[in-house]
Amino acid sequence: MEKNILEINNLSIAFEKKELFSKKETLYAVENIDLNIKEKEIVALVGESACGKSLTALSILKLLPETASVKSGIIKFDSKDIYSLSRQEFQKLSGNELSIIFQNPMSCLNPLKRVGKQIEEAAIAHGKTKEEARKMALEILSITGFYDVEDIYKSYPSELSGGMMQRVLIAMALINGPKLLIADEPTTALDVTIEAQITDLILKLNKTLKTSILLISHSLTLVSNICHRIYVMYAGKIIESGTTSEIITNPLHPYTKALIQTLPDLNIRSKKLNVISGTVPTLKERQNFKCPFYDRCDFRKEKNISSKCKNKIPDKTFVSETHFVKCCFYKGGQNGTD
Amino acid sequence: MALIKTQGLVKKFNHSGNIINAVDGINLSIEKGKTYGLAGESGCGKSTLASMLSLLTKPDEGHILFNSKDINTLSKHEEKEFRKKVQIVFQNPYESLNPKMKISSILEEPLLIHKIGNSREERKCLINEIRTMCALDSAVLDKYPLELSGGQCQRISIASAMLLKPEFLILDEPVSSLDVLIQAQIINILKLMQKSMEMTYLFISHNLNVVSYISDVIGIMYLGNIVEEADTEEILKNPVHPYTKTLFSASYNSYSSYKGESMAFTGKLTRPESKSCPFCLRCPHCKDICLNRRPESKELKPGHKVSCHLV
Amino acid sequence: MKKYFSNPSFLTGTIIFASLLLFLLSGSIFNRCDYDAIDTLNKFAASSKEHIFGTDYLGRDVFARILMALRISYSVGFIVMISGLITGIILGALSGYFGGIPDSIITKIVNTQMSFPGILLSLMLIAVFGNGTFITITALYIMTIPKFTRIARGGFIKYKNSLFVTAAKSRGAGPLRLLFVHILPNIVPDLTVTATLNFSLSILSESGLSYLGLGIQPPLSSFGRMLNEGQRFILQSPSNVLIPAVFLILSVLSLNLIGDGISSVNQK
Repeated sequence: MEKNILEINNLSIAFEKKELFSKKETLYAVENIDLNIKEKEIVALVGESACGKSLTALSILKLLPETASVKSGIIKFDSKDIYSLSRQEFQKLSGNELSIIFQNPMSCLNPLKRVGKQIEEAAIAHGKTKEEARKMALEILSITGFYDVEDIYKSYPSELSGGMMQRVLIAMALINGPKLLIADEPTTALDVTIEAQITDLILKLNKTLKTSILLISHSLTLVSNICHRIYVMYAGKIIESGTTSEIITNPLHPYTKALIQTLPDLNIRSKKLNVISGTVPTLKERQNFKCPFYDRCDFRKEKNISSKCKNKIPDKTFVSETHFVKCCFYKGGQNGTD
Repeated sequence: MALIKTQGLVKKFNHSGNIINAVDGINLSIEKGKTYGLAGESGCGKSTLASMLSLLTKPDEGHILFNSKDINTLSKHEEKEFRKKVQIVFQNPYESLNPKMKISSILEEPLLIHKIGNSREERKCLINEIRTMCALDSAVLDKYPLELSGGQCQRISIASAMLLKPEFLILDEPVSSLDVLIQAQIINILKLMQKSMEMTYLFISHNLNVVSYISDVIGIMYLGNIVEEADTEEILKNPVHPYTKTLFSASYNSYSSYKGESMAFTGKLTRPESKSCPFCLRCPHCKDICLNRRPESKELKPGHKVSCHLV
Repeated sequence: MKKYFSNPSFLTGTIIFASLLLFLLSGSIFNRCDYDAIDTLNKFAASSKEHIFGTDYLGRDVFARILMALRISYSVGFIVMISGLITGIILGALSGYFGGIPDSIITKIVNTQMSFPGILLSLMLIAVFGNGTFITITALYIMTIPKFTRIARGGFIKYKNSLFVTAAKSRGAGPLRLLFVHILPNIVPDLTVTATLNFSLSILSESGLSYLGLGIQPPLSSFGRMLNEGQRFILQSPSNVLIPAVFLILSVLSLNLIGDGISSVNQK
């Protein structure tokens, strides 16, 4: 049984707004989420924009914006509570055993420095000499699929394409052989062919370097090709989780079902695409409902269970050891009566 | 009947001393009432082509005929008429809208420019009509673009283009920066509007799933050239050009893993010389003839054109 | 608007400037004395009910002279700022948006002018046309044009190729609409900062010129004039120097704080 490399328990993140002439407002963007990643696993966190997935990733690396803070919960990396580590202790982990790559590769690279030097920085920051760092940089460039590593090492970011820059960033994140790599929408800004190459690369790196990966995306199709397990997030809460085959073949939550049905079926081109009416509730609007999906849920109207859903906080219902869903339809729901 | 036609369209760019053809001799013909899907990766020249078709850039060589008239020879008055008939929607929803303008002003503007609607009330009526078609709440009218979501902003851009009731709508990667659920919503809206307003679409995207879903005809673009063109059903069943095949295999058609004919990724982007086939440097089947001579467009079957020596 | 008032600099600056304006307004209503009523028997009088701020070396009521100084300094500063702003926007639009030959000509003229020390330019104008309020305003106006032009030009260049301008063009918008309905509102924050800082600088420059005897001429009063007249008798009547100095400092400080505040809010 592999141990957990990342354990998030009951994490809540809120934004605090304090203006000169108004009351202090605390708006929760992420509420009570639990997430585990084992060694050598690729786990996906899937959800629409503004559902809180990026904030979750940032909180693991203590990179939350000024106005946001962790309100409750524990994040454990390799059994160490991240928020109780000192700054120096955490700095030793960050970029070394734990690293992250972001969505837009162009804005993450310094346009004035050669790519090779930027990759080395990560190694030098963790105690390697210049010579060792250079060797490691060339090696990681080759592992990430570049053929002419010397040429790429000497290039400036402006000479590379989007896909190549993203691979350089992956190299930077992996140079110290981290135990966990967080990839926040790594292919959203890239073309489909490059997307295929990057996901291929991620799969390869997981197999050869044994790195665990947390892949964050808004596309269920993308992650279903390479991930072992999927967490589905909506409006700050995790509403379903299971192995990839469980989620894809037997989606339970109405939102997950909608995500799967949205992909255009090339065999039935004339059919109208399934959409969910309405929009993701804003941070303020979320306080109105117990179930985050209540407002947009067509499923409850279909099954006529609105009275059941209306005032209950959906509880976790396990349909198998690994597959759970938070929906009032599937038995349970806290309010005393059932 | 072709609504819009291009002949030998070329646009050159100066890229660090070298002159490259971003659009390299395109012959395009789009029929009235149909959707032409233009698929290709970033940097292949699709946006440059869109920009020329919407009269935002002038071509260096070649002609663009709209209703059989060359659009680069129009008088100022005719140009304004053209702008009513041909509209464009861009990729980035936030950047397409003026951050300092309220949505109601943004939507009223096209009507004011072309003097459509004789009173405020009439204009309001037209705006409300389009707004409902685009599934937008009346509450958005009082907001600023940055207060809305990406999907809402993109629908506003579409609404502002539709207000002029154009004959031809160019959509340059309209859903690429949006979540999958929002993509679906916008595609539904576009399909509905096309039917009710009898419009012709040019739908540009690198996402083959979306392009195949919405288009009647697909053109595959690579480095400024259309390398294959056919009806959607035909090209999905029988892709011929090596690039088309690779592009299709890289898209997720279903939940099975793709079987890639992966392209050799040799390193930095290099463009081949103008005498060669544009795809020769990345093509797994490249032969000598491909390096020495540009392939011409051949018609394999009626309606299915390919530019490749090996066919 | 709320976000501006939450900024401490902006709030402080606005309060001070508003107080000065209020002082000017109420003072003008209640003032009984003429600013140029000479009464040499009553020179250097201390503060009294009749002369709240006392009198100067010619027995003139300092309070009345301060009110006049405020009126003149603010009017001169305001006129210079507004005319510079409008000219800057027009020149900036021509050179930034249209580019080409107009741009080359305008930038060359503006750059040449910026390398000229302002005082020298004013001296030259005064040598040719004589001194007085009108010449002061003209000299300061010419000095401010380059600053506004540069900011406006930068803004027009930045936004002319932005996507929303291209989108508006595709809907049929002509150059005037693009310049003034689309681009201008987006460069207002930067222009406002320049305008407030320029307002304060104009007040200061006018005071400088008047202090040298080149700007506002007697019997009109301005801060610079009062400082010039007061400095000779600073030991006998320090208040004649301190009072205009304090008002000058408060005016300039308040406007600088406002400009600073706007700049911080827009940087976020």
